[in-house]
Amino acid sequence: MQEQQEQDVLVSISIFRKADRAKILRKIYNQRYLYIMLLPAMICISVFSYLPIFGWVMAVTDYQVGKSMWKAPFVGLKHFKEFFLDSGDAIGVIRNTLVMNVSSLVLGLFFALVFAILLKEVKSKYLQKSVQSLTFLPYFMSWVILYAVVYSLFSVSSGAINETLMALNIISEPINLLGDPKLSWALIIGVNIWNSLGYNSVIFISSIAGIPNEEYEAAVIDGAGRWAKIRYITIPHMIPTLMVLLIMNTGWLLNSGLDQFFIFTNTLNIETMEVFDYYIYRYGMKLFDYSYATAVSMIKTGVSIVLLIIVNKVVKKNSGRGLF
Amino acid sequence: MLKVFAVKKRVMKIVVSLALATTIFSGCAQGAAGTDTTAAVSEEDDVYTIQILTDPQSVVKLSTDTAIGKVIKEKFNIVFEYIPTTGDQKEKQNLMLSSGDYPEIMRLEGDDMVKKYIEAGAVICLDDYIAESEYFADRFAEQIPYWKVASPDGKVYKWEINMPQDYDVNPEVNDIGVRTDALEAQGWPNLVSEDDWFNFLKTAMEQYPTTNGEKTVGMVIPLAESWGPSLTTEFIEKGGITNDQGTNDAVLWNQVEQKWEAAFTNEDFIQNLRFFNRLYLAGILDPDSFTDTLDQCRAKVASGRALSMWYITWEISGANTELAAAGNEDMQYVNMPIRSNTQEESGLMRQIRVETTRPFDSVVITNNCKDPDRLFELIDWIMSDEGQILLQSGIEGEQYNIVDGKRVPTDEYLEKISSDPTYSELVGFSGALSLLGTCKQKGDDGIAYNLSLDPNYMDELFLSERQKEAYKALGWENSKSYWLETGEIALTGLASTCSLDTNSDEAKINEKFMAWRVTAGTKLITAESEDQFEVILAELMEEYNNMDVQKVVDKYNEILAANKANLETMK
Repeated sequence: MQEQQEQDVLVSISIFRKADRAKILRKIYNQRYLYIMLLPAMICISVFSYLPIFGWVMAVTDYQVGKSMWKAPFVGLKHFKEFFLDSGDAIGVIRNTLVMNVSSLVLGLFFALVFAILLKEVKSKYLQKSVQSLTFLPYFMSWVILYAVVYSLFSVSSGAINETLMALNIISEPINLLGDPKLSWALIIGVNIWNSLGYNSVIFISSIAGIPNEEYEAAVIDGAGRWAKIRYITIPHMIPTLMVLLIMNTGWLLNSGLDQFFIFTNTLNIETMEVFDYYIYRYGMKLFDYSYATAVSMIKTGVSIVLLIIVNKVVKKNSGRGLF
Repeated sequence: MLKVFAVKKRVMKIVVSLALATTIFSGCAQGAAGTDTTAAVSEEDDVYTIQILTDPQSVVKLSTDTAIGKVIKEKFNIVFEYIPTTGDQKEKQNLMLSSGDYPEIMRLEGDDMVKKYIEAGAVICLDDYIAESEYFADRFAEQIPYWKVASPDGKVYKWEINMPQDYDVNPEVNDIGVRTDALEAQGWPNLVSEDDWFNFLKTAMEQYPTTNGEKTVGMVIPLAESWGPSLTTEFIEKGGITNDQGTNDAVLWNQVEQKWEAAFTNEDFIQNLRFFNRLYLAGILDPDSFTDTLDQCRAKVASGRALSMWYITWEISGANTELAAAGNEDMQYVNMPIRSNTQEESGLMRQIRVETTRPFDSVVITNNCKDPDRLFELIDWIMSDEGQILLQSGIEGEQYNIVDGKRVPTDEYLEKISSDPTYSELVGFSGALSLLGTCKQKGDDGIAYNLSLDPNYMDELFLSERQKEAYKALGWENSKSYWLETGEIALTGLASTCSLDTNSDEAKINEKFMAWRVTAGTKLITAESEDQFEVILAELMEEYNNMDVQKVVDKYNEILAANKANLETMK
């Protein structure tokens, strides 16, 4: 009897599982076109983001170019130790990366928020759209063009800004913005804000567009002025968007973008400009120490993931909203 | 109606999905096709087409678009297809090796790169081919033992471009390119010592505060280039003892004692940085030098804005052409010597580097080659007198004629070689075909294979009237007089066969030094005063001593001793 009951239960579970499986398959079939559309993106991510992770094996071996990385001699944590203890570069690289990226992120979002709010207050739609389009332009320029613009303005011997300021006797010596290590952080942060202002403000503008008009009307009825409306309606509605952007960008805090630093770094400012991406490029591609460069890039990835988790937890705790 | 709409919607979904998938996969296929380096042997007429990497600015796509390439096709039925490449060549060579995607014949920069390719089994051993060769073994009789010594297994896997070399066929001397109007304004001084140059440039800056409405700069140097910082210590090649091996390594070559020594503790090394500091403090050194690439320096030189250029004297020819076109012939540049004060006072003969081997321009046949026998047949013939004359002098009757048994350039050659930028390419002189192996020597008739480099023709071909006037006023017989009179041959010998194992501790120290040297040099050059220079130098010396660089020097000398012992057995 008991045996029969057990058998009935097992059959039920099996039927249940089969039913679940059939349900899932039916769902997939019904949404097949969506999955097909998703397939190319999944393949791209798998091939270009996940497959290369197998290359991390180089970080624990002494990989030699031209030979199989699976047959390279195992060296354990030698390269990680070298970065943190022997090279003397770890502190400088981490410092430069965090200072420039955190400042660019925080100030970039702040200025984008303010810009979006100010743009919203502009009455003329035409002017609003024009300004928005113009501020978006730098985002599409390559760093090579951006550098050429900055060079033409700030070059020591022939920069337009330097020549104008010297002609007006505002300065007696040209400002070496491109070379002075004391100014390199300000340069990168300023360029990043300029570059991303349009892009970040679009997200805030769309967030503002989602605020119900009734709230503003109600505020007007209650006698709220422009500043009060901004302070008590606009800004609170933008906070969630700000939090989401902050969390999303935290994962990229250690990613600086090689092309920007490749262009802007030179022998004068390298001590304050060398970030993780440039350091990995220098050791990997210039000095051909692939194992060491892989180890450093793994450190960067690991720390980025930890930062993302921490920030998400903190924001979730404080505001109740998180990315995951 | 709804059914029709539903069908249309379904069709749209399928079409969009397929379009997305097609875009992705066709992009991948395009990329794969672009890097296909397999040879095409046409079955129709047995033409062997080989892809070779070349300069992106090349106007030629196939070797048969050139006069020389046509002759090669007639004789050997081999055609070269030019694939333009940009960027750092050494980086590309590493990437190609790691992906296994390299052409059949390629140039490799340095013996360390050649070793990597050999150890990966990517290149073909040439020993058997050399044993049966008609011309190759004779042409490189001196080089082959050195190549064997540098090779990990004592076998030959390569040959080199611009080898062998004759001393007087365009000796490589890159000192300072200087504006001739500035020289004329100060009475054509024969500048040599660093003090001569400092005083000259200081006066010239006062005489020419602006050039064509722009602020004049005293001296340009492309320090933003990856090889830029190594130029700041070139005094090491201008004395009579040491020589530059063209690297940023922790060691330099003592030509007199035939041994390696530490670079940073060398007097000339530091003195050069001291000289640049003087220029920096006096406002002579262009402040943009630290951020300028070669292109930016070229622009300043081509406009005449720079009174002088350090080391990059190969830009003189292009700059002078631009200045002539702008009507500023009087501003054209000439190459003049510089030595440190100590070197000038010593009276020692300058060591003019003549390479015994030139690993920088190594050429190999890779294991992707479909028919190495056929390719080597061409290479062997190229090493003959006839082959070299074709490759470097061109076609008889078109580029040269034979007069009294010697090659004499034709009027067409004389007219076009310096004035028509595409002439060299269309004949086949410049660019990719040099991969086959150009020898910087004189032919059997006593004239340099490359007519442009022959001492009898070089100045006539490439010096402008203004430059000839300048050298005459300076009392020089030709543009290389000073160096030929005050220099002596410095064969590189075994120096270029020495390289470190990239996985060794010494290589790691050397790597660290190379990165440190860049910032150290910049700190010294930008010191705020001569006193501060010495303070910074003392601090840097302490950092340097902590790096244990002596290990690298000792290792290099150990390798040198081993190679010297091996050389005798290889000969």
